[in-house]
Amino acid sequence: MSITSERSSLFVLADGGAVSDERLAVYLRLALAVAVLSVVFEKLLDLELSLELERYHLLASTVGFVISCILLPFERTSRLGIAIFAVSIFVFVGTKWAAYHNHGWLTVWTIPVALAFGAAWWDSELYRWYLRATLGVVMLAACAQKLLAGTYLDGTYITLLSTSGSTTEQMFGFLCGPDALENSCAWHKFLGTFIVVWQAGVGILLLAGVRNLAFLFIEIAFLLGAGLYADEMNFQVLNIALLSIAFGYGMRPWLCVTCVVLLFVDAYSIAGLLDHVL
Amino acid sequence: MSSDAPDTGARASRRPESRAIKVLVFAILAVHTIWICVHLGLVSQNLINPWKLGGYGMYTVPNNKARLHVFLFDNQSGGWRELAEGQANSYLFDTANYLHVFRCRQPSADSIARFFDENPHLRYRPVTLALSERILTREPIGESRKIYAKLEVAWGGETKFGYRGELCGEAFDGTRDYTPPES
Repeated sequence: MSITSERSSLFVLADGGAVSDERLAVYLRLALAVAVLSVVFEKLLDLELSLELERYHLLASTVGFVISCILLPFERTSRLGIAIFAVSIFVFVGTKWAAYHNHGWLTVWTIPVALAFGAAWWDSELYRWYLRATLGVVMLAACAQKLLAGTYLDGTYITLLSTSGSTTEQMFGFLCGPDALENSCAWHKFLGTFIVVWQAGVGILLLAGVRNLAFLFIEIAFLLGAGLYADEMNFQVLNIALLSIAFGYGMRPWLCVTCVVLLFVDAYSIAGLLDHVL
Repeated sequence: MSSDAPDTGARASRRPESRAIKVLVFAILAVHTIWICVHLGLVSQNLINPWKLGGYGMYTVPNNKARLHVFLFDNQSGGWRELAEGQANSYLFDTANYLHVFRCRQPSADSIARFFDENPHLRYRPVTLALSERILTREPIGESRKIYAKLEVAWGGETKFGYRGELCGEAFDGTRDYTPPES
């Protein structure tokens, strides 16, 4: 099933108009390179610890990620870049699987699979479908976990973050008074419920095969909002990069610049930047 | 899989994939989906840290950040005294127990031996190890740290130790020969 709609002028502006097949191929390869770049930024923060613990294989893998990122955008070397990434990420997983959160695991499930689609992986409609299905299933999984924990529909987790979270996580604290600690207020319940419903909706739409640009851009906006809230832009950049491939849109220049800026912001953390400025 | 043209301006070529590739892709997706269901089941029984092994349960409860506490028997007071942070290292113990991602997995005898490898000043002395985790509290809404596992270690000379403990309501014990690492 595919839902199509009239593009509004905003989306045409962001789309930048139709692009040639060659240009689109570049954008798709660039998207995977940005996905790997998000891993590079994550691993760079671990470099000091790897050196301290003399984990030279992890240092070598980090170099592998950098090389992969450099090779990925080019037609002739893109597949080699994926292969180097696959080796590097499996070395990391073998060593640090217990410490891995969402970022590393999502790359394990999504990026090495591209190897199966030949030298011109970006041409594969099946790969795009696989990314959509994987991201859809992960979205539903995250939604199910929130329902299972029972901390979103009643607003508990939003209240918790609002009172004892990091700087950005406290952004919704003003919505409720101090009584919220005893019983979450309606606004926090609304926010918690909205997040659950949103994740369920996005998961279902991705699995249903919806590839409307409006859907992509709204989801990107939501991811950026969530990244701002949790002060975790790195994972959002990975999601945006993978979605841009899944939607056949690719990493257009405006999106690429946005993502790279966000990676640098994430390296310092929004809270760190705010503390520095204020 | 949708065969309709996407509304994205994408005009990449649609080369057919081989049956083997299709089977492979569906198999990977199926394995991932099964793991997500298993993960959900393990979280529902409080057996794993929801933040780990895929991270599907991140931001649903506080990250438990399991921490090891070390207690020494104080002969003068006749009671147990907790060592301050930095007075004992837990890196080898934690890594040998997979950072306690599996909440109810009993610490292995090897991991206890590695703890003493890393903490020579605690060898041959009766110690109690305890694991704590951060949990969500509801009245009032907040988070607190709570001990959820305890492990007592006693030595029989300098070559053997015995241990007993309780984790997730289940008792366990064991003994192990011990040879300190060459320095």
